[in-house]
Amino acid sequence: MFAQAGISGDFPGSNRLHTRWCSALLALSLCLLQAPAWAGHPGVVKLEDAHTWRTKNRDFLKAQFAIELSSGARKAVKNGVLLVFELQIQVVEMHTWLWDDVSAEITLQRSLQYHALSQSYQVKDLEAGTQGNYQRLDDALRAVGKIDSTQLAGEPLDSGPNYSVRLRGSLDVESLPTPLRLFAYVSSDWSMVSKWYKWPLVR
Amino acid sequence: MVQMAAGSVRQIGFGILPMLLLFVLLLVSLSLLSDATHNTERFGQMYSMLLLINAAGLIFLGTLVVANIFSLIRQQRMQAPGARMTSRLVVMFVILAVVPVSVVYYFSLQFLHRGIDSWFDVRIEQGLEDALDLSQAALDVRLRDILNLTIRIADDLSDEPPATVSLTLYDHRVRSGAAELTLIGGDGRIVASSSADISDIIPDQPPSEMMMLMRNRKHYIGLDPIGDSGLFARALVPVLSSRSDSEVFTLQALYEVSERFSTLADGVQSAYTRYKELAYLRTPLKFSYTLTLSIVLVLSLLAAIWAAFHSARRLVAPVRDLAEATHAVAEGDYSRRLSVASEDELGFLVRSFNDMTRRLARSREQTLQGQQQIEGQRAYLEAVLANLSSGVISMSADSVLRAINRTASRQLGIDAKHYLGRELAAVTDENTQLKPFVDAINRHRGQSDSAWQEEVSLQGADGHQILMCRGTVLGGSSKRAGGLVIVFDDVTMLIQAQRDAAWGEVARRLAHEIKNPLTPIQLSAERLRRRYLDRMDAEDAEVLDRATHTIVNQVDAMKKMVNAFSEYARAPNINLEVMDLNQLVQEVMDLYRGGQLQAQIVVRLNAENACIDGDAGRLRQLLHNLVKNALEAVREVAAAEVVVSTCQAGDDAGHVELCVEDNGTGFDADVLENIFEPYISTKPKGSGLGLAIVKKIVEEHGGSIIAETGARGGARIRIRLLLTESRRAPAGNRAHS
Repeated sequence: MFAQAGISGDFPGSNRLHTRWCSALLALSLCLLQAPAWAGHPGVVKLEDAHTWRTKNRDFLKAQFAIELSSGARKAVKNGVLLVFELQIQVVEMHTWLWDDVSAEITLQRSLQYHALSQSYQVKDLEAGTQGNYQRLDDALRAVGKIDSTQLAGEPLDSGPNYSVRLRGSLDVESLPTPLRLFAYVSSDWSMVSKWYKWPLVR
Repeated sequence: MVQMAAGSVRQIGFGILPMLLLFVLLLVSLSLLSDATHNTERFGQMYSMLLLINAAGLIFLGTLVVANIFSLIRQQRMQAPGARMTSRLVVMFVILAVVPVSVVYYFSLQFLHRGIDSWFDVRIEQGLEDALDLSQAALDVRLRDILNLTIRIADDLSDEPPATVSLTLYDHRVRSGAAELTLIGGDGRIVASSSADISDIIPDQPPSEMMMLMRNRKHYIGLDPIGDSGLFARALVPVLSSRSDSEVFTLQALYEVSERFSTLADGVQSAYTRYKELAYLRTPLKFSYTLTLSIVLVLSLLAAIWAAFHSARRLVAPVRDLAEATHAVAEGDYSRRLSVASEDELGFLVRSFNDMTRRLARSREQTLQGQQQIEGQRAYLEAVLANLSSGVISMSADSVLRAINRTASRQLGIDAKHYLGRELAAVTDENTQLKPFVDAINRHRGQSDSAWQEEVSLQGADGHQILMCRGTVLGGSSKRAGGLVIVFDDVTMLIQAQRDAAWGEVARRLAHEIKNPLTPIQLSAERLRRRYLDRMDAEDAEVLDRATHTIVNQVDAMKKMVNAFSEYARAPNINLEVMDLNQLVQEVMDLYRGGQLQAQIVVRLNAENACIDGDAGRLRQLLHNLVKNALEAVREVAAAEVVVSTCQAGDDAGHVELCVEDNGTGFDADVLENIFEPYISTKPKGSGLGLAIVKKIVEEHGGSIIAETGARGGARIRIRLLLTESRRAPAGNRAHS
C-alpha cells in the first residue's frame, strides 16, 4: 500500500536528536512534578511479525506492529486529534569489540486521524503522501503498523561484515498539539513506544 | 560596635548588562513559548526547547536570588555595614513588586480560564453536530443512488464475456458519470478498469478489509476522501455470474462528489473536527496557558527580586562606604577618600566627608608637627636643665613635682624618677634632712611670694650643706599657671672657701700685726725680770716674777695661737703618695700605747683596702688632732674610751672611712653646725683651730668629714678618703661614685 520510505545513511535520528533530548529533559523535570496521569488502559506498541529476505542482492523487510491505543489516546483520536507514529528501521553493522555501527536507517511516519464526515479513520504515510481510509480503528492501526516490502538500504550492503536489523515503533509525542504535549511528557497514557527488536540479517 | 572587617554587603551575580540581556532573552523565549502554545505551526517544534530554556533561566535566576538572600542573611548576622538597610529596601521592593503582580496574576488566570471556557458553547457544538448529520444525510441519499446504479452495472456485467468487458465498462462509466469503474478479480487482481482521468492509469484499489466484504458477497458504499482530490463515493458490488463455476468479481465504482457539495462538506468536517479537538484540549490548553503565565509571573518576580537586590545595594553602597570610611576615621585612618559616584544628596555627603577627612588629616599633621616641636623643645630644655650646674625643680600649683633635673637630684640626694608625679611632701617623708628645704618652699608659697630667694641650710648624712634657693611662680593662663620653679645652688663649698679665705686673711694679719710685737714684749718682760728681780724686795720681787711670768706665758700662748692660725692659713703644700691608711693609723696609735692615759684607746682596722693617695705627715697631724680632742673630751668620763677605726665606706665602695669616736659629752647641737669653723671649740682652753685644720687636711686630700653624735652620746668624726684605685679610675666612673 505504501511507497518505500526515504533511506538515510546518517546516524540514527540525528535530525531529531536535539528535539528528543529536549523532550527527555523536559519529561524528566515534569515527572518530578508528578502530574496526574490520565487513568485508563495503557497503550501498547509491539512487533507482531517481521521477516527479511534477499532479492537481487538487495535486502527487504516486511513487518507488522500491533498497536493498541491507550484510552486517552483513543479518546483523543475520536476527538479529532492527529496522532503520528514513527517506525524506525536500522541496519546495524555488528562489531565484536567496538560499538555497533548503524549502516542505514529508515524512519517511517504515519499519521492517524478520525474523519467525522465519513466516520472513518485516515492513515497517511507522511513521506510518501499516500492515504488509506478505514472504517474501524483496529484496521487503521494495523495499517499504521504495517511495513510492506521495504528495502533496507539504498546501496547493497557489504558482504563482509555481519549485520543485524533493529525495529522500533513509537508514538511521536512532539507531533501532538502543543497543549497536549505537556501531559504526554509525564503521562504513561501517551508513552507508547516499543522496545528495540533486533535480529541478525541473514543473507 | 559594628564589625567592619566582617565584610560588607556585596552583590552576588553579574553586572547589570548581562542580567538585562538574560531578561531580554528570557522574555523573547517566553514570547515564543506563548506563541507556541496557541500556534503549533510556527513554534510547535520549539515548544520543548523553549520550555527548557525558560525553566533553566528560572532556575538560574532562582539560584541567584537564593544565593543573594543567603548572602544578605549571613552579612546581617555578621553585622556588616549596610546589611540591615539593604534588607529593609529589598523587603520593601519585593512587597511592592509581589502584591501588584500577584493581583494581576490572579485576575489574569480568571480571565484566561473564563475566556477559554467561553469558546465552547453547547449550542455551537450542537449546531456543528447537526451540520455534520445534515451533511451525512444528504450524502446518504446520493450514496444510495450510486449504490443502486452500481448494482445495475454489476448485473449488466455478470454475463459479459471477458473480451468485451473493458468496452462495456467504458460505456457504463460514460453513461453513469462515474469517475472510475474497476473490475477486480477474486484474488484482488484488476481485470478491467475505466477512468475519466486519462493520466491516472493505475486504478485506486480498495482496502483489503473491503475485499473481505466482497468475498462474503456484501455491498459497500461509503465516502472516501482521497488525497487532495476531495470527496469520492466508493461503491463495491459483487458481480455474480450465472455460471456456478465462475469467479466472483467485484465492481468498484468511484463517483466524484460535486465540487460545491465537497467544499461545503469539507468545511463542516474541518470546523467540526477543529471544534472537537479544541473542546478535547480545553483542559491541557488551560494548563499550558496557566503554565506560561506562571512562568511569566515567576520570571517577573525573580527579576523584580534581583532588581530589588541590585537597586538596594546600589542605594546602600554609598552609605555603606561612608560607614566603613567613618569607622576607619574613628580608628585614626584619615587617608580614606570616597569616590563621588553621583551628584545627588549622597554625592554631596560623600564630598563633605572627603573634605572632613582631608581637614582632619591636615589638622593631625599640624598637631604632630606641633608635638614634634614641643618634644624638641622639651628635649632641648631637658638637656639644658640636665647640664645646668644649678638644681632645678618645677612643681604644679597643687605641689606635684613635675621636673627634677640631674643636678637637683645629686645635690638633694634623691632619685628624681621616684618622686616625679608625687607631691612635694613625699620628699620630706622619706628624706627628713630635706625638711628645711621643703619648709622654705612651703613657707614662701604660703606667703604667695611670686619670686623669692633664701639660703637654706641642710644637715645630712654627708655633712652640712647650704643651698641658695630662688623660687618663681609661673604666671600666665596656661594649665601650668600657679606652678613653681625652684632653682638652687649648693653654695656650701663656696661659703667654705670664702670663710677659708677670710680666716687666712685673719691669720696673715695676726701674724703680721700680732706676732711681730710679741717677741719684743717677751724679751722686754724677760729683761725686766733679769734686771729688777734681784734688786727688789721679796714682796715686789714676787709680784714682778708673777707678772713677767704671766707676760711671758701669755705671749708664748699668743705665739702658739698665731702660729696655729698661720699654719691654718698656710697655702697647701701637700705631697701625695700611695700609702696604707691602716698602717698609718697603727703607727700613730702605737705612740699612745703605754702612756699614762686615762682613757682606753681601741683601734679597729676593718678596712680591707685602705690604699690611698695621701700626705703621711698631714694625715698624722690629722689623726693626732682628733685623738687629742677625743682624749680631752673623755677626761672627766669614767670608763673613758676612744675608738679609732677604719672601714670601707658603707654606701660608697670607692672610699675608705676613718672614724674617731669617744664616749664623752659629744657636740652641742648649736655648735655642731659650725664645728669645723675656726675658733669654734667646745673646750675651755681650745684654740678652735683643731677641727678646722682637720677639715682642711681632709679637703686637701679630696675627702669629706662629718661630725656627729655617736651612738653612745659622744662625739664621732667620720672622714672619707678616696681610694687610690678610685682616684685613678676613669672620670666617668669617678663621677658616678
